[in-house]
Amino acid sequence: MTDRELIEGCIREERACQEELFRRYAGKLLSICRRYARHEMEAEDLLQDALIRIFDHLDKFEYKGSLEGWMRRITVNTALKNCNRSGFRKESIGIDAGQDQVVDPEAVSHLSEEELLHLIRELPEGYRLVFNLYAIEGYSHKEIAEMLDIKEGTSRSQLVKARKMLQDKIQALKTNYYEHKSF
Amino acid sequence: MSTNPFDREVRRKLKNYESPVSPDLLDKVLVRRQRRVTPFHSWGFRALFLGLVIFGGVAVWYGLSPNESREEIPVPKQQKSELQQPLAFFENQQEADLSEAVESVVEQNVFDREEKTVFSENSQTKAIAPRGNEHLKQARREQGEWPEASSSGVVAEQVLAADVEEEKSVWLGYQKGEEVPTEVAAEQRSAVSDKPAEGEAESIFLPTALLWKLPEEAKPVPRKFSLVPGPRCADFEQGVWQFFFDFTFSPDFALRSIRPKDEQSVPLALKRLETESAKQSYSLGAAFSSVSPKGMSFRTGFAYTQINERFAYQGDTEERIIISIIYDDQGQIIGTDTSYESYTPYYASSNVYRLFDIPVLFGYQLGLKKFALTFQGGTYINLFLAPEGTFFSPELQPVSFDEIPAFRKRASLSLAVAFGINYRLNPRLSLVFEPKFRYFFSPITTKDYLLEQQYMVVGLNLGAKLRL
Repeated sequence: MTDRELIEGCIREERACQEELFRRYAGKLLSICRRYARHEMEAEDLLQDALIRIFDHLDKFEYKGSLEGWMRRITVNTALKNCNRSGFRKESIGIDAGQDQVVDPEAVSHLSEEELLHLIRELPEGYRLVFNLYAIEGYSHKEIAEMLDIKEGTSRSQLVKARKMLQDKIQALKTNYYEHKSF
Repeated sequence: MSTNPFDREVRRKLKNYESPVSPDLLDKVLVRRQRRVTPFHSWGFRALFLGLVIFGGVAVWYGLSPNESREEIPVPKQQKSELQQPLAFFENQQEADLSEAVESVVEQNVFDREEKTVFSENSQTKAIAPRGNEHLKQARREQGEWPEASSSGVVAEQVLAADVEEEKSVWLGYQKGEEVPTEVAAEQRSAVSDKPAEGEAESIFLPTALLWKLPEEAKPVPRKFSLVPGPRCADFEQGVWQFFFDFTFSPDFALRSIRPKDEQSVPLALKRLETESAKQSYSLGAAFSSVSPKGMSFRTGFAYTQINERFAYQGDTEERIIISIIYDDQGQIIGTDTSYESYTPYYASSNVYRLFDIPVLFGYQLGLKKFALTFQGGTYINLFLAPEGTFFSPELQPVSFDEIPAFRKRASLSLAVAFGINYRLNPRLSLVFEPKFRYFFSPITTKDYLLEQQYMVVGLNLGAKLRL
């Protein structure tokens, strides 16, 4: 079944098409939600909200890009609506970002997806949002600033801090892993 | 797109990662969609909505269109000054001239309403000369009811209103040379003491004192006690149909009761009582209301009520390992420090119950000089109920409201009572202070759910009321 057939079936509220769309994309969309949410329950709520919006607005899809990209954008926007913007002010106080250091990417490749998701979720909210939007979704700092109603400079500094904190966490996890292995 | 190798690696890892999804999640989504769209797809609600729009439209049209019975009609300056000073006016007129001079009239129903007297250009009932009632006065003198000369020294023409059946008309005036009792003269002066400003059109009030000796058949029905205010207290203008639009905000407090349906449900009820608590709620309303000449009122519109509650609970105690890396001055790792920490996670969120209602309220409005007191009672018809939040499932696990069909799509009818004070800022705008009480006749939970959850809401409507 092509995406077009799938969309048209969902617009007609055909259960089989809805199930197929869910089967194809729900897992990826849930991964997005898990990166933005604070816990599993919130991630599932976000996914439900996003799917409702997707089913409601499928008739507005113009076939100009991929269906998956369109659904991802809706999911990210739904997650952003739910986030707590006040986190930016709180977290920017008293933290020294330090230099943007290059960490061996191999360190990431040794982690499982679940571990990486878990580490990202442990980031403070402001860091998490900017890191997700910039590093994974591919938005520019200007776009992030507009989406989150913050300054571009804030977005940049949050990204640097998020990256550093994430690298530290990965490093700590790696160290812990080798320690356990040596025993 | 970020070119940072670290970012690139994270993106590669997560961009297309698929998390395992609960298979029943689609059902939840479809159920939520169904719930959301149901109320406004009902023909009954559409008809109700249309009715309200029509009612509001008629009210606005009525309020904006000119209406002779409700408008103050300007009196020509010369005529007005004569009417404002009847004593002087009649003193200077000959009997024969009166019938020609006083072309303006008092409508018969003025006496019946005993309120603001309107001299209407359209009312062409003609005042007749005093000579037409000589027989009446003579009869009254014989019965001792006609005022004899007194020591007051006030000499004027006694102008009385009389109803001459054949001509269906009335006249007012004093007979020249007759003496008026002191108290009557004082009342007459008092009644006409509000002189109009220069060049200003003003309604003329009928001096009640002039009615004191009406022939029996022309007298208005006496009212020993009347809730309808007199001319000086007519700020809220009872006596004509009035239409209002009001907008209110109310801080509310929702009193909730949770009752288990059987003994097995008691732990669930206790758990919910333990983990859920009331927060400040509120409601918003916009309504049209009409008030009859007798002060009876009808009010309807839309009301949005949001009942807020807090859901908070502590999870099971967990243990986590904290590994700290120790660096030397050169940044080399010289060791690690491992510690164990047990902690109890604490979860908190907000539960929200949104109610959209149509209030249908009947009541009474009493107009005072600057205030109006209102009493209203009736019902709220619920359009739909939208609960959102987290609670404990029968298995005592925290779950979203959507996961268990615990709540009805629509709440039951509810009884509403409100006592209000309207403070008039200007002829069209009043402030509203209105304590209210609302009681739901039945629980908002479904029949199959193990508990019964029911509400009472108390609040204070604050807002503005615009006369249309």
